[in-house]
Amino acid sequence: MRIRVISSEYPISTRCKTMKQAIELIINGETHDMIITPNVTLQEAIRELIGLKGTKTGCEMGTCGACTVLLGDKPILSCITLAVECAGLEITTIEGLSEGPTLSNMQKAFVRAGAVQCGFCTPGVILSGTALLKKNPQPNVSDIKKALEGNICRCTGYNSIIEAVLDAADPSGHLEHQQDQEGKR
Amino acid sequence: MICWRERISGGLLNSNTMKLSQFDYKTPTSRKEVVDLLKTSGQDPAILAGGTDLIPHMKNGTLMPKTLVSLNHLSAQKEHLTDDGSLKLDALSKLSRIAESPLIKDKAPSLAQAAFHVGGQQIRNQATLGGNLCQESRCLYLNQSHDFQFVEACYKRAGDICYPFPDGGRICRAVFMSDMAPVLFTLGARLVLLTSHGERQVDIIDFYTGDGLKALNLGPDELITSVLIPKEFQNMQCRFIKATPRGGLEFAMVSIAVALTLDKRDKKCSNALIAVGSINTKPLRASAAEKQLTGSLLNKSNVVDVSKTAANEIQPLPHHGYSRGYLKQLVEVYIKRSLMDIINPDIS
Repeated sequence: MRIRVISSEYPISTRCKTMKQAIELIINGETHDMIITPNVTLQEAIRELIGLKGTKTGCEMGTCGACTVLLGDKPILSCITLAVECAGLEITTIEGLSEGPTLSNMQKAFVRAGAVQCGFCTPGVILSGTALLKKNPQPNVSDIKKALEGNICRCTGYNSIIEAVLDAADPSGHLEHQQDQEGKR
Repeated sequence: MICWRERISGGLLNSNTMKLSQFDYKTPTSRKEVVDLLKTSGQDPAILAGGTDLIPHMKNGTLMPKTLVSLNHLSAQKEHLTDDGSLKLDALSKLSRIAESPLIKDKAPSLAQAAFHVGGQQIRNQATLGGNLCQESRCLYLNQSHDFQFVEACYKRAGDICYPFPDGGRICRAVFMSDMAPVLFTLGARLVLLTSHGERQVDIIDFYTGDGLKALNLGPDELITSVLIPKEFQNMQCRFIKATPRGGLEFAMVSIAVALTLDKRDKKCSNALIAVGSINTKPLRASAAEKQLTGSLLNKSNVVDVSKTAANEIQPLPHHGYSRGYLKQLVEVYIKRSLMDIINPDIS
């Protein structure tokens, strides 16, 4: 599917006199034709030009991980990536994980574990977790902590986030483990 | 005084300080072309590789290059052994690749460890080795967003004052925080630089000047293309430890790299290299401690002495709120830990 985004009304490009470039940005399998200046970051392109607001604007300095998107299989920070650098590459945002109303495994696990407090870090965490499970389908707690170190949760709800990722990796095993613990109590 | 409602509706939150200002964007397709572009584009060009250091600086307004030369269209060569046995790493290799490469884990494990501890997963997927070696130095008064920066610019921003060292002369003492550089110090690395009139090699120890205002011994039209680790520095007993205020996504308070050549039978140390990073305007070698360790047995009492010697000779700059004494203590403890880990890998 091809979608045309006209960016001439966009304030960033009107402020800027440098050469505009025509690029194709492939977000969640849809190709977006854009005419943008090089100083537009990937995050600005996704949020403000395309209008997918699931990718959050946190620190804008590459320190919080709220703007995480997947470039291929790898999580990157969209706030410190130029949109022109990603021309023609497959990008997945949080909107691309679910199929219509059906949530992905990781998203379901987050709902089950209640791993959402204010929800601002959640899209980034889910994408980092999804990338981890693709690389390592059976992670242990320290693998998960290492993989999620780039995502800061200011509500400090890390325990349930780790539980959710464990749950997504092995739904049956983790539930047994949980029941064991409840039995002990 | 601005009230919060005003700030949110029309004031600071909608200001454009976090947007990138305008620049020319060049996409060369070969390394030679990069060097030519650097030479011809007059208005201070900057090289964009991973962008994890450059773009936050551009958003802060501490760096404002008029031209960005992107290395996005160049591909990184795979790490390999050259004909003379040295390990060749492409400067464009992503840190995540260095952290996971079986060849690097085998030949220079401390380099893989160091790459594994840089930033977070996302940063490692973007950042490159060359970019890490050329990163801007850091100071509490410099790497801040525009709103938080002091009105009067410091020496590094072409101003006339140094906030942390007001009586220290016209020198910038921003701390160089690369984690990869101290490791490469201990692995005797040589950097291959491409210039407009051919290639030159430079020892990594000579690459850093120690002057915060011009930290790198790199000409305006030069580009790091690869890093060579000579054969005699491979397969050493090497360790990297980084002391951070929290687990991940943080610059080091102190980072320690050690590399030893040990005799297999009696654990006698025939060659020792110790480097300390994130502590001064460039990574420092602990030469007295190295001398003390070379030729002696690696045992617990020796390790205690050596780490004390290192802590005495290393001159830390108090940075980011850590005092000189605390940093010296960190150097001692972490050198002791890394050497003890070589003696007894199973315990720690």
